[in-house]
Amino acid sequence: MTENEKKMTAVVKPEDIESLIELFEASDWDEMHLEIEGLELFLSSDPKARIAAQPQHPIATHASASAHAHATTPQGMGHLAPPPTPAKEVSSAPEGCIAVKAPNLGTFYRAPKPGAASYVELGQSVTADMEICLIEVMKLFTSVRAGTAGVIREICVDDAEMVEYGQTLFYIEPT
Amino acid sequence: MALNRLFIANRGEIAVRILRTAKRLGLETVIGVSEADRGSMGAEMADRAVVLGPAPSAKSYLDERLIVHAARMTGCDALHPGYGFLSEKAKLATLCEEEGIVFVGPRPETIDMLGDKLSARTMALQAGVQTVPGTDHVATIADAKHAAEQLGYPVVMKASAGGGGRGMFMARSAEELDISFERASREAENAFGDSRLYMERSALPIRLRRKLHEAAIRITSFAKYRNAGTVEFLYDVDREDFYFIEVNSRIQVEHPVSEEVTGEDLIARQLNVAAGQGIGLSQADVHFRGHAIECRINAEDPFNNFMPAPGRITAWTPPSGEGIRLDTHARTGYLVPPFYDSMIGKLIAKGRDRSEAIERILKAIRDFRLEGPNTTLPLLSFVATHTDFRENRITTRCLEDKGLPDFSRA
Repeated sequence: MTENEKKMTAVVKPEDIESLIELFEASDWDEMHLEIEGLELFLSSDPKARIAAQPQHPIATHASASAHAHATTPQGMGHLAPPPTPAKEVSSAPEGCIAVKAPNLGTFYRAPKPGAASYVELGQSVTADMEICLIEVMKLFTSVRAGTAGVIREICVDDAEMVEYGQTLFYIEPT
Repeated sequence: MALNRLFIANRGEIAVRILRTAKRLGLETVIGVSEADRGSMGAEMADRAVVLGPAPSAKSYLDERLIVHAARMTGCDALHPGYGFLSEKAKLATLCEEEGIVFVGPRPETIDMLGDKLSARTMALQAGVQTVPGTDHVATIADAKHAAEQLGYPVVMKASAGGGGRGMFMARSAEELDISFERASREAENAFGDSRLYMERSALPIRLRRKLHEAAIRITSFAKYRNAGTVEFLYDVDREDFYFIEVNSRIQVEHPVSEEVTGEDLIARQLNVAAGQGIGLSQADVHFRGHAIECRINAEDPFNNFMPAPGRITAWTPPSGEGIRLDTHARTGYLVPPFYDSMIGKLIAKGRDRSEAIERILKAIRDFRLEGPNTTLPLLSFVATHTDFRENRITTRCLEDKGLPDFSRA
């Protein structure tokens, strides 16, 4: 499937989310955590529950709005189709870490070319001027530098995913 | 070939306008926004909003590569450019074509040809349409004076790469030409990246329906024009003749006027054409009824040289009522950003005739409670009550010559 075809055949549609929320509310479950094809949904019957996953970009705050099952109508349903950038199993922003953000919209690449080793891996030490990824816009590639000397604590985006301006790509724990 | 998912490459009220129709037609929608427009009405309305870049237009709305990349990666099969920004730049249309995304507008070659206002004049002449007597590029001030003597003052100097009235200056004498020429060149360079100017004789506007329509059809047929556009003419009362000025190869800012007097949805017609379904009606199907007037409301201070007045809207109670329409992206609490043009809405009033339309728009302007940034509402109110306006004794110069001086004294 091409990227486009993948995006246009979203597995989870807004009406599915509504059904899931209804199901959850009708049940006696405390929590539901669902990950499908680039969508992460967390529902809790405890209004004080903190969402475990950090929203990947501002639009995904609508996903956290529906974290409280007491919200009868999920806010901003429209924003969930097509699916936002896939959320990996990540914890909330690690303490004391600095976010490396996308300088513009484009496609994120972890390696200089397909099949090559990634620029960086989790836990790797980096210097401030080290290249840690590429952002491609219409076949033009720009590299993103770490900006901070430290250790890669989180890689927030999957290879070949589109990122938006300002989206967090990595978390670095400064040394 | 139905369209499924539309990318909106614009902002503000026109983004909201396009989204409204796209949603009504059942299209999925994605909007590309700058950082400053993250929380905008358009971003809320679209199924998805993607942040292209920071606030400055050059890094967001004017970067066709970011736009088309976003459209492609979000699975859009069509793109609407709105007006302004890249709507009249062939590069966006070309890139869409290359990426297999349907551009809701004319072909790139058409945009190219009509975007350069001088080549548009040449084309109009080839199509057998009379253009405003004028010149080719005028390179030096000496050439300008010579041309002006031939044409007869007053003359208008225009940027060849400009349009829509931007980069335009009038000169009534050789002295005024001296003052305007260098400044016009510099401003054209800054605004359009091209300092070249050409000159036209100045004329006054009125309407001559059928001949104008025939001329417009001749030009657009000659250009094999696709989708919506507006052909602009100037009418010279003394010479009793009209002259082609330019084509706006995009949806017109004032398209609501056409919509109100015909009951049409022009954005829907655009999307039909883009989807390969044709326009879906003939001229005989179009019925004109009544009269409509549109006012642009700008966040500018009309008491202070129209200084842009960005800022937060603290009160927003728009008018309503029979025949009133407001196309806007603004609301209470909206922060009018300083990065883009200052238009915050278009107020349209329709009536059975011009008189009723004027009464309705005047009431609407007066009923509009808008606090926060300065706006042009006071000036609009003044114009709508002015006898020259009501008695239709208006020209393109009258605001400058009489209206504004009267306004500042009022």
